[in-house]
Amino acid sequence: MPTTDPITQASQALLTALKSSAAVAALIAAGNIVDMTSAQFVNFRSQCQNSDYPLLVLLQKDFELKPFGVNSTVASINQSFALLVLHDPTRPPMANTIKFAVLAALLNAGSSLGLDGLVRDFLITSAADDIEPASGQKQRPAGRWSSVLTIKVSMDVSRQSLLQG
Amino acid sequence: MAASIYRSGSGGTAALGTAELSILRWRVTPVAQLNEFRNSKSGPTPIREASFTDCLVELDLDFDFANNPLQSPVGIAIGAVLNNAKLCLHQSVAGALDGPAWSFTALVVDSTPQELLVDGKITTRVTARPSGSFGGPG
Repeated sequence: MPTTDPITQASQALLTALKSSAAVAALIAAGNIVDMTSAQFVNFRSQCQNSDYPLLVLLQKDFELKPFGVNSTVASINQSFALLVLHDPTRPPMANTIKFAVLAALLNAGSSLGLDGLVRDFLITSAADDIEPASGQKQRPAGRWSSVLTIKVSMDVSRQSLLQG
Repeated sequence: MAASIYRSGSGGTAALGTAELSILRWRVTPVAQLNEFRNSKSGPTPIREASFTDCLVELDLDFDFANNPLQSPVGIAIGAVLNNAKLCLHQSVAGALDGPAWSFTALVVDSTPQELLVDGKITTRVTARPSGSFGGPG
């Protein structure tokens, strides 16, 4: 069985892609990109200062585990990640600028996000801008203009490697 | 007659010897050559007799960039002879290559068309015909 959890690997690959993008860096400070897979991750910041905005958080959402995957030799994992961007409520929202920067960052990471042999493909399946926290996002600070992008990552893991565990 | 057992295709695969292929789909079409007799004594309908048996085999492969199926060691090239091909319907466990299967002493590769969808998969279709004996799932 693989020693490293592939879903965490994909999450970290997405964050690496975002942090290494000049376009994203120009809009969001590296310290304001929150890694929920980090040991230091506790929760959203309850009291945000102006310098904390825009704040980017990558959350894990729906997933699909297919023991009998897309071909006869693999098990497949489809993991969705919600990328939330919280904005300074006193300033005009930068939603479109940030969305475009995220698209460029992920494109630069390539279709495997740098994880050849694990990630087959990814796509941004749906996205939304909203003023109020969306349902199911109760932890989000209220009243911020939030952008949500859903990134669906398709992964393949060798069935043989899973059986050996 | 025994109680019915039905299974999905998810436990199926194909292998050359013990080397499992990344199968998306396989199809086997066994055919018999039918000789027809139409003569003054055969009446209004032809009389048919089966002679040679043959088979058309199609394998759709998920292209493996780390193990190119068109090159050695898999070596599925046009004209190549693939020994000990086995097309499994349902394995007891992944990679076991057991259970009911079509088996071919040798397959001669007829064509290897490849298809790519930019928002989909890269599929390599292998069409082949047996050389020598073959058998269906026992």
